[in-house]
Amino acid sequence: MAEIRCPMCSQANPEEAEVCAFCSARLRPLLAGGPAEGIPPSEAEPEETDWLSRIRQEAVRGQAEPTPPPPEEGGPDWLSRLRRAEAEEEGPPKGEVPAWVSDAVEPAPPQPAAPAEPEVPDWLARVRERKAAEDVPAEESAPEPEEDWLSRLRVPQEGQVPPREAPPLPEILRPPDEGTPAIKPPPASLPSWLPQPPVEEEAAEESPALPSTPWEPPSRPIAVPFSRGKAAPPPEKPAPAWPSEPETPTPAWPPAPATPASAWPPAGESPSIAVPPSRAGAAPEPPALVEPAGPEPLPHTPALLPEEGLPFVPGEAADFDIDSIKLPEWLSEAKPAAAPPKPQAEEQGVNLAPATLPAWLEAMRPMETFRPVVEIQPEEEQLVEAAGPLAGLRGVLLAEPVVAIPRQRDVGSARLDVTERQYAHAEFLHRMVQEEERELPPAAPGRRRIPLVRWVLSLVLLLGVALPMTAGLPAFALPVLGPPDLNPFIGRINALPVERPALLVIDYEPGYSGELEAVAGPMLDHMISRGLRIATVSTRPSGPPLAERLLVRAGVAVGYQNGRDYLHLGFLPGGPAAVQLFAEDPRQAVPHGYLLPAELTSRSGWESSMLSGVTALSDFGAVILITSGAETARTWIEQASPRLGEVPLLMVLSAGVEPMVRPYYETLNPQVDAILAGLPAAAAYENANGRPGGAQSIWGGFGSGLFVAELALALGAGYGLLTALLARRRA
Amino acid sequence: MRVRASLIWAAVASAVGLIVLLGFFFEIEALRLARQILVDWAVLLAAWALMLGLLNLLGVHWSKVSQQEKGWPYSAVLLLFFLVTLILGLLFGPDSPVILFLFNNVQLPIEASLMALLAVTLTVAGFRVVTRRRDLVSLVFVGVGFLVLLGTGPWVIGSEGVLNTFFRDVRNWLAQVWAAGGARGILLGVALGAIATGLRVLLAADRPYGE
Repeated sequence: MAEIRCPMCSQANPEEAEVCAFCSARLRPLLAGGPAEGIPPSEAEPEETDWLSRIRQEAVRGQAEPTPPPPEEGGPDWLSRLRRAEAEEEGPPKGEVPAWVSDAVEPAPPQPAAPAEPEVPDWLARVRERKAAEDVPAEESAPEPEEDWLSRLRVPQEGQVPPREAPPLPEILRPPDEGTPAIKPPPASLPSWLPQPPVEEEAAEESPALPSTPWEPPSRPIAVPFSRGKAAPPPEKPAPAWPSEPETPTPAWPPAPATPASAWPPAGESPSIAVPPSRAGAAPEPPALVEPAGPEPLPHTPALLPEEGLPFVPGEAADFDIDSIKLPEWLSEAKPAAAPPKPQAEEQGVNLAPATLPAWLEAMRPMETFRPVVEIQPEEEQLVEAAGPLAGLRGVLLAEPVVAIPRQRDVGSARLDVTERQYAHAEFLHRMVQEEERELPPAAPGRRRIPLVRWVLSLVLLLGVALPMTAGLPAFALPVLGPPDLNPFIGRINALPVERPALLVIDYEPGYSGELEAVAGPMLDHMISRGLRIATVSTRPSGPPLAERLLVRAGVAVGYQNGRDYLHLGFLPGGPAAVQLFAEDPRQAVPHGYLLPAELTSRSGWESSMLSGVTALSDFGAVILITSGAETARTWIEQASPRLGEVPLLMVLSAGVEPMVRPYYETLNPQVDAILAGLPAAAAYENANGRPGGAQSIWGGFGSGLFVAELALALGAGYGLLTALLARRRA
Repeated sequence: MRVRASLIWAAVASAVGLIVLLGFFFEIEALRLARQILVDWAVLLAAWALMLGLLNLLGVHWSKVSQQEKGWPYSAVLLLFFLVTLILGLLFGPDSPVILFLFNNVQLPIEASLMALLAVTLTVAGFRVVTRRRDLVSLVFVGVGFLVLLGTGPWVIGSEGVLNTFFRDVRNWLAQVWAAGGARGILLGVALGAIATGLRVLLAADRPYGE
């Protein structure tokens, strides 16, 4: 005896038992495909969902007769892949169908070839009834399975439903129009989360031309995939591909390529979801969101809607007045204000919610959070296109905000990640800017301080220099031993030939006259005492007066006369080039003279008898340079030395220049034969001459001034050390 | 073919430099004459440079006086005596007794006084250095100056003593070894720089005459 085990308490019950004897649970679930006993079909399974019923039916029929495979030829690749995948995976994954359902469903006998009456939702049944009452002629011509669905679209519909009740196809779903570019099958006809069928351009090209008849609104609602409007009633014959039984003889998607109008989707099939019957019967699909095409042709909905009453000429699509174009109905219906009423099925509680999807199918769908939500505003609130070919239209996708208007960057809204160091730098910069902007008050005039140290030192130094020269105190002993360079210099002066004049170059500024006149004085005394004739020249404008001053002071006592004993050649302009030129040709370099005697009427010193035999630099007895500058000394050494020959080059120098000239003197091949530098050497020279001169007259002041300077440095160093020690002790 | 003017100038400068340079190495009469002519031109240009310097000085101080800038009275005095000296020199000549009087009684005392002030300034500066900047460099600076002064000047007592001789030798050692060594280095650097500058001018790498 067969037993039925209760799915709730697992107790065995007789086979004919309807409910469990132990727990009163129903042992025989209500099967799909027929109402329960004693219950009207419409009320037999009010709470069961459609998909469950279909699963039950398909499970029963699937065991009886397998769904014949669809024709392979002519089908697109994606369909082939779907079929292959379908063959591998029949139905939902294991576990998705509850076990009690599988157990409860008995193996059904083989189904006849004729389709059984499908389970039709009540809302669909009512729609069909109403449609049948309204549209009888259309029903008569419905069973045309082999007629192209596009050709049916061309047939003017009678007894049309008012156009506003049927949302026209969106632009992307309209079949290609004649004279207009072929519109590819809209990939949006399938949900984006399902595999998209490949676009077949050939099919689009082969689509027949649309009739050049005035456009009329479709006679019945058009099934659109996942229509947002009211659900269109499905035709009664043939039964819709889905959710009716899968063994509907309508050709499976897609038709053979030989079909003349094999536009996508094919006739007789749902234009929205391309699901093979086998898959439709095996796997639970989303609830009916589409309207099967049925036998009735879909109305033609041109891309651009002409005004009512005007004939639609497809070939003149490009000549349309863009202002006369009606907006698509579906756009108007999409307004929130005029939101379409809920489908009757929903109103009547038909479970079409996505929650009824099995988990494995739900897992294939994209996440809800990533689905774009487009909120369509009412028509009066929508913006009017201002540019482009759609200018003046309302409710179109505006191109300007996308293309022209700069959008705010998403990155800009992100919070800056500022470190403390960067923040500190920014604060510092901010303070700097504020500080720059702040107006500083005028500095208060500081108290005028008397430079006491400067005054005291100056006074002491002045007294130290003046007292020895005026009062003779303090008295400094004259140097007995001169510097080591003095004797060679004196020897050179002694060796100068008397018959040849010596060239005296006066190249110092008047400021150095105090020192250099004192230094050069003993040398001039020595030369005058020997009776040497002297010719002077200078590369400085102030040189000739200095030379006159120097020679007058040195030779006045012995009666030296200008033009006879000495002569001023004057100013030699041109710097180093002039020195070179003078070394090459002295007569041409200095053609005139300075303070020439009256007997030289030609105003040229070279006519003097003193310089009669002098034509070159080497004709002088010696070249003696009195200078206070290292640069001048170097110029004469470099420019004149090559032309001197055996003529000695002597230098009378300031004490500060001596170190710079000494390298030319203390060398294996000296370019300077003797130097006389500094007041001590001059004082020693005077001692050697036996004639006190200017050097000894200022010797006391010179010594006293140096002593004051030494004392100032020593006191300053002592004060600095003392303050440093005190500061360290305080610290 | 259009030749750039800078190339012409560079060629002229290089040629003049080469002629003057070769005149030092080869005793050729034509070369010597050419070098002498070129140097004579250089002397004329230098004299005119001095004249341009005077005119520039006149223009600068004239601008100061005309715009009443700070210190314009000093500029006015300078302009006054500049013009006076120029006029006197043009009238009587540079070697006239008037010009000699001005030189001996104005220019020379003033410049000598300025040089004397330099001695006072250096003394005060040395004192301030050792009292305010007590670092090693300041001490070395002041110490060397102190030793040189001690070895240069006369002493009140013991000028011919051993100690004075010792400091004199120290001064000579500092002046003739350290200072002369530094001077040699400076002179060598100057010589190398002059050679490099001369070669750059000869090769037209340096164009002080403009592009």
